[in-house]
Amino acid sequence: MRATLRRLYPYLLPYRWRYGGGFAALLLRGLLATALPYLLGRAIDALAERDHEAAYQWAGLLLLVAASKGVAQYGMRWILITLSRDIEYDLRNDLTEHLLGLDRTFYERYRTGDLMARATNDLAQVRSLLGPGLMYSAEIAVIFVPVLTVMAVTDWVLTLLVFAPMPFISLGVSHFGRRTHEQFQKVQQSYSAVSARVQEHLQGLRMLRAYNQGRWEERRFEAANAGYVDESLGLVRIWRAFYPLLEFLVGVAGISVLGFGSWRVLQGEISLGTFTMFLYFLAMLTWPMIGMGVVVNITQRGVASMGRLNILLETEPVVADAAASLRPGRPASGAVAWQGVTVRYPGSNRPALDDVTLRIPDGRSLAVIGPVGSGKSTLANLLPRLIEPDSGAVLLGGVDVRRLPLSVLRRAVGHVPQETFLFSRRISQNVALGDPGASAERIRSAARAAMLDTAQDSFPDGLETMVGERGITLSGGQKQRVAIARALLIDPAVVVLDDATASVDMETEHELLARLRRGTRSKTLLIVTHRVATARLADSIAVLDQGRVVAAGDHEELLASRGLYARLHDRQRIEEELLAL
Amino acid sequence: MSVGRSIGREAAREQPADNVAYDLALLAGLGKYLRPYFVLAGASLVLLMIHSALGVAWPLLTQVAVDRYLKPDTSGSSLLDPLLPQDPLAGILWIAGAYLAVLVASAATRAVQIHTMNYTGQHVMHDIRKDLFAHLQRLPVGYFDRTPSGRLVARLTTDVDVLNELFTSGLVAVAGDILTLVCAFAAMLYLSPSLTLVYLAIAPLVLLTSLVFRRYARNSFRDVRKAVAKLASFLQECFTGISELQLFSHERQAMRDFESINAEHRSANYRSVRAHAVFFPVIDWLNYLGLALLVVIGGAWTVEGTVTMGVLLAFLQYGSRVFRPIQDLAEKYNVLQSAMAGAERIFKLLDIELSSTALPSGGSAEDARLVTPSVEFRNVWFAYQGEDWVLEDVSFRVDPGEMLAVVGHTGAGKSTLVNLLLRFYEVRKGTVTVGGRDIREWSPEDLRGQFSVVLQDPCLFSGTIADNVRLGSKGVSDENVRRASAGAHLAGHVESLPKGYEEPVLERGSRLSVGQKQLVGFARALAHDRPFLVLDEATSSVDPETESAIRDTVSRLIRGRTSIVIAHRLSTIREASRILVLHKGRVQESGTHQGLMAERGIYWRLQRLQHLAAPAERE
Repeated sequence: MRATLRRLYPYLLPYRWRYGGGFAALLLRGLLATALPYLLGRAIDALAERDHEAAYQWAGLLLLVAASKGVAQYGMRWILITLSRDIEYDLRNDLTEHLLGLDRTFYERYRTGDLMARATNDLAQVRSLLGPGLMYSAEIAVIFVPVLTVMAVTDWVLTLLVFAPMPFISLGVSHFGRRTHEQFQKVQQSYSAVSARVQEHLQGLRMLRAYNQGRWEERRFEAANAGYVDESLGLVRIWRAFYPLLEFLVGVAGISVLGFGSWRVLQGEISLGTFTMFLYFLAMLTWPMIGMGVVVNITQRGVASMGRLNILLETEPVVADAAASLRPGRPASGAVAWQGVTVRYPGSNRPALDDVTLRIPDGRSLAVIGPVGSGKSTLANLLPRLIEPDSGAVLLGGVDVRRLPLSVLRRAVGHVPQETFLFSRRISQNVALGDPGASAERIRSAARAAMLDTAQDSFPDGLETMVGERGITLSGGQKQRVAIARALLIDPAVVVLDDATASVDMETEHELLARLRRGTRSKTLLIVTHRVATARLADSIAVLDQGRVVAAGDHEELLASRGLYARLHDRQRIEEELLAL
Repeated sequence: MSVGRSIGREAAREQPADNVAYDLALLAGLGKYLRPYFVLAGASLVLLMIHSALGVAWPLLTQVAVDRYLKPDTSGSSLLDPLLPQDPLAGILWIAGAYLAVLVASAATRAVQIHTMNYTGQHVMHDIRKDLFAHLQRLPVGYFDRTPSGRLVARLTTDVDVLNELFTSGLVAVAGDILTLVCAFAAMLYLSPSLTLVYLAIAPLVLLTSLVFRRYARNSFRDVRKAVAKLASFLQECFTGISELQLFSHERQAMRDFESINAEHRSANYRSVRAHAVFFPVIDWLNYLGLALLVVIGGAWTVEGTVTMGVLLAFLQYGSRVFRPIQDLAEKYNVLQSAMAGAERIFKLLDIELSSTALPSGGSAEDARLVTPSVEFRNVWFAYQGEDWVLEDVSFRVDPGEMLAVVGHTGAGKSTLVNLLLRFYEVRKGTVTVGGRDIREWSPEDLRGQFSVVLQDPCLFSGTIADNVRLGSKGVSDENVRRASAGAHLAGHVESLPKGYEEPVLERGSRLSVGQKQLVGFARALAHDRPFLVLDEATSSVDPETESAIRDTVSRLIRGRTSIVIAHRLSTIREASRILVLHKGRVQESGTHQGLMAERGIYWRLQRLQHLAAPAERE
């Protein structure tokens, strides 16, 4: 447990004085709280002696002390709980910053929902541990000491009797806590079974309907449903023993006061006021006794959550600046080369790229074409270091991309991925992602270059239109053109279009590519596509199949060689004919 | 995102118009489910009352002990007086014994009450889930195409559980709180009406504080939820768009934006912390104010002799527990709110009008006996949405024992034919007849009972291999399963497994190859020996051995059945009596393989496409 929480110490350290203040308030509150039953007892004694003057004074003092206790309690809660909110704030910032620095391999391993759960729920559990968890445990510790002292000094035999059920309560809390935890796991499992059954049913819906298996499915669901009820009732069986038992044990302490305490009063050992004081102490101790169970619970959950966060925080990005060999400054040119590059994805028996060597001279364009799964996108992803090669190297301007600082490399490569992601912001903000301070003029010109002609697209507020959940839904082609504008805005040396014009109509695509090549400082262009019509717009074409370059050349040469390229060409011509029919 | 969304929705619900009538309607819906457990639920409520009543015994016993023995006062009488012994020591033992008895009774009632309450809650949830699932059976296939499955799963799981929370920790706890309050006041009135009035002097203050707190806490709670939703949707976007953020070196800017959202979240929480930090001490102090009032006024009365010391002490005991339920009620409000949102979603699903979507089932079981196994589509038009026609004026006929192969490019409308034939969807115009009768005159069960069906996705379910061949059909014997598996070239593989046909199929068939899964689908169709065959061939490629097994099984399936096959394999197409070429939702060509090839039209091109498939795709 200590190892799990070690990472938290640096977060606590800056707040040590506030923690000190909070705990001081907590201590003060505990002492004042102990005084209250005492004052009440004295008031009763005064009344028993028919001395109302004294009783009024004790009552006045009671109110005053209660008010001071209230102030201390306010201070305690305010300081300690806001403190935990501050630490939560720091932790969440750091966690998010860490996550933003992790690469694609990490994001392929964790589903978004899982990450969200950790950044919200798990963090909340850790916060509970650092705030209420610490506060309650200190409160419990603090309340026992003065109360026990006052009680023991007054009547130690009675005190012993009052505390006699204590060990049983602690034992009960930890025993039932463990059983609850175990049973809860089973409840979770049967809960998953219910959800899995529904999911499976929905997936196989047509098949089940076709074979009239509704009744069968209802029976199968019923089994899972009943299983969940059974396990849940198992949990209820634990509760129905635990809660009454707890109530009973606390009550037994009450019997000690009522029975033995009364006897002491009769004997004249203690006064009626002291008897009252004991009754009040008993009420004060009930919560801490039960509270221990709550604290144990908060702690367990907090530690488990911290463990889950640690796994994220300990993950180091694979793609990162290699401090030793960095070369500062922009790459000398936009020339790109892949040298004997091999990439292997985990769990696949065939490499995605197998010893690929290709080059694009500065300012020229290369199209990479091939069937699904041939390794085209992998080739493109290597350039901005979205993934790393297992062997071989990728060069930009003659320098291994791993030796360029990531920030420099990514300013030099404008990557437009196959599936474009737009943020729920304005179109202009999406375009200016790489440079949020870009002038409106620069944004407009990038948009123009990407054929994001707002008049033709008729966005309600032009480039200031909101996108996504809070705004309009863009068509596939519009999204792709926004993504292209985004890539052009940073004025990169190389533009990578990974099937990025697939949803753009053919005329626009031609015009767009032409504009890209005509630009003032013509950019190096990598076009990944499965369309022959797109590929032929490039200076040269490489044909990829099963991770290997099977042919390279220009359109005419490749057609003439009657290989895969020619087959793709024929296929697409027939498909066009079919569409036209 | 789902986190953020549902939070957002709840927050929205909290807003105006407090549709009390609507909430009552929801509760009435729940009441219907509670009815079968009326006795248990009633018992639970009675036990709760008994438990609350027993809870007030402690101060009463204190009063008796004090007035009778500790500070004898003849004016303090109690119902117990005739029972109590004269000797103080015996009397105190008697009172301790009585309290022990109360404790035991209270613990026992609590145990039974926890049991009955949760038993009822769990069974009500069970029944709701059961009804929801049965309801899913009756919803048309189209509904599932429109509704994400995650949402439906949530209806049957999380939403039902939230409802349970509403029942057990919401309504029942509130009832318990109110009962405790009532019992305590009853006991106080019994002991001393005048002292009760003294103590009640602080009630307006407590109520006012609670109301102010509730309003403040509700606002801050809403702010917190909004902030959490904002945080969640921002993170969601970051994680989904992580590549874009990194490629455009936007991490730092994103962090700055995040920090301000995070700070917003923190300050919303600060407000909520402040509300709590002020509320609890104030309530606590008011409580002591009540005690001080009792000491001052009640004290004066004890000196005068109008109130006994025991009664005063009992009041001091009650004072600390009377107002707790009021605080609790202020806090429970939020739980109730979110539970109502869950209930609303569940009943909305249950309330989907079946009349508009359910398939009318004309005809009786006798009519189901088929006369001639033929199928005819007559001028069929269909669109999934509006006027986006997927099928336009499609007509064809399959005679008994014939096999029709349907071919076409992606999106030609082939699978829609199957959807209409099996009545997953209703035709918009035209008619489909099976055995000479309009399928709308069949009950869907009887209609589907005529077909052996193989779909593109073989859909394996958790269970054994035998379960998967049989599905739930009781009529399919073990012998049938074995024979069908042998017919689908599956027997050899299955029998080599440790448990044979009883071998469990794990997670959607992960231990079977793609081809074997398809063969299980074929075995299923063979085992359900029906006059018609509908086969939607899978396009995924398999090894040559499985390929020939599939080929053989297809021809076995076709034999003796009237078949409609959406075909991709040339081998399958060649078995067809006739080929129908669907293109852009219309029947464009039909005839035999040779005839159609000779036409050099769509079919000819489709065949050439097939032939030109790139090696990687053909593999």
